[in-house]
Amino acid sequence: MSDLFRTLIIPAEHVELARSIAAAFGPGGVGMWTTGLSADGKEPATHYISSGYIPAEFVSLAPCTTYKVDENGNTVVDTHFAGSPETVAQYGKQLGFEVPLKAIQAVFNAADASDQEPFAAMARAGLKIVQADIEKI
Amino acid sequence: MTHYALQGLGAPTIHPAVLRRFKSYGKTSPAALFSNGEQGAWYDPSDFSTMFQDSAGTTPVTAVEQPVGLIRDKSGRGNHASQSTSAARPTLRARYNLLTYSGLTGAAAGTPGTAPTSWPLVTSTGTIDSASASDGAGGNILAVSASVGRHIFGQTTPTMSASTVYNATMRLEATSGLQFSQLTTCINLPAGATAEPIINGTVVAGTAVPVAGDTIGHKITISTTAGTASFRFGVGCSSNSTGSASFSRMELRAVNDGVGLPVYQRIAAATDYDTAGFPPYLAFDGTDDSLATSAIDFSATDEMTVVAGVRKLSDAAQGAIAELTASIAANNGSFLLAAPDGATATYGWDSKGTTQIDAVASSQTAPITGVVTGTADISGDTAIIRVNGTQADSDTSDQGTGNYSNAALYIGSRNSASLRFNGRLYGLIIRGKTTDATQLAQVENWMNTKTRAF
Repeated sequence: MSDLFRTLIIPAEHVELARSIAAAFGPGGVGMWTTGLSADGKEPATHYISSGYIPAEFVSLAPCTTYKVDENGNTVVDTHFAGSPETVAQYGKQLGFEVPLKAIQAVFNAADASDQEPFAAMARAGLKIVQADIEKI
Repeated sequence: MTHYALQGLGAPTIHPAVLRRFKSYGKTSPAALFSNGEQGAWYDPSDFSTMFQDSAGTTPVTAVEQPVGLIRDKSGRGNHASQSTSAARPTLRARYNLLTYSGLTGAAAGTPGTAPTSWPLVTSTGTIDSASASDGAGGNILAVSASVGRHIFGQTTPTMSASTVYNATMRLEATSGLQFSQLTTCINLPAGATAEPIINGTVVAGTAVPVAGDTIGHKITISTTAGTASFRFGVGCSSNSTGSASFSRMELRAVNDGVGLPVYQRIAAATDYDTAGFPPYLAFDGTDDSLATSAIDFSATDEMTVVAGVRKLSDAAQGAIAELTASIAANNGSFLLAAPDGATATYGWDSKGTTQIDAVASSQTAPITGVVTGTADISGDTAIIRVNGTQADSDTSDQGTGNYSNAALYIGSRNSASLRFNGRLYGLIIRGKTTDATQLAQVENWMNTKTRAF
């Protein structure tokens, strides 16, 4: 099965665990959620975003909401999948990466996971990329 | 030549070197830039054989809409660029028509009939007379009629960028003579936007009567507010009508998105579309996508040439097309080609021996496509930025001393951590040497064949 496109926004308080879970699924999951977001685009980051093609086996376990645009131009929920935290917990146990099911559920519940392009997802969630102050000459 | 010969003047003599140069205009391979052992890299997203979906290089890229985890360097120096994090890989893409299901597939005749996929009926007091697969491009011709009624289909467009002009069009295959305004409308525009009727690219009045074979639609001018619109077609778009018309080939494209491309791109689905004639590119999403190389040893040179084919999609924040070292601000012997050069309508080219200087090409409002070149000489104290073959700015301030670094090259970001480039990369050439004017023009023209910027 091919990789599938997802945009995954995780609140800052859950990002460390989310990174650990993603990394447990293989080297392609290492290094996710490095781009910080906040409501005004300034530090501190309240959320982190990863967007792109991710392995299908991870997609099948992670939560996802799909959106569509109605005839009036409004973005509305089309489908919602809550994910499978139980499977993730079991898989983690097999890998020697034991995380309480409740903690995984908390990450999944807090995640904004969709098939939207990243800037559409950020706009819907009221978030902007945190821009470091660039020292221009 | 025949003309001269007829006048008894004989064939004109063209110096062989000039003839070679003429023949190679726009065709010279960038490989020549590295023929004398110059350090550098050359990435060519139009060459599928150089790309892999994973960073290890085990799964080839075989089609558009696949991630690119590794792109191999064609310079011969082995400076391949990769991304190990799955979600941070750019996507190979060749998408120009922003609509989906442009071929009006999935429709069936009837009253009201079955609307084409992704084009629901907005008003249905008429008939789909036929939906035949015969538009010549793999899609349907949809024949619609109404008798003192309205039979209209609609799709909400994707978000259109601010300060950009788009054409939303279709081909009128047959008509009973209805006015333009009864055949298509474009409404619910973003604040400040306008939609003008066009027939075959010319703005007309809504009362104009197009004929079979015309391309009809709307010139949509987006002001400072980006947004969507409702694009509709059928019979009776403005009021109850009596008549018939047939439609095909739905298209929405920014008018400045590529020069000389085919006028229609069939989009069957998000990952299934026509690519012939449409230049492929690496799409960097502006949030986390980037590529990086292992250290490239430029420590023997203080000269640099960088040529990039890009489409910049946003001016909201500075983005790095390519940067040598983790940050030019923090490291000597660095360069940075930026799009934009800040939250401004610019491209930027920075070079640094021990002191950073900055050449800026202004009036480059996104979305915009360009072949952007930076050349620099640290000891010579020059940094020049060119756009589409023309010098846009230079900075001759002191760059300090030293050569360029033996360091990683980052593409699409700063150090895989910030300055995320939001746009497309059609090709990238890095050469650890300045390049003479003739050869530079040839390379820029070659890059333009991949970019279609001018």
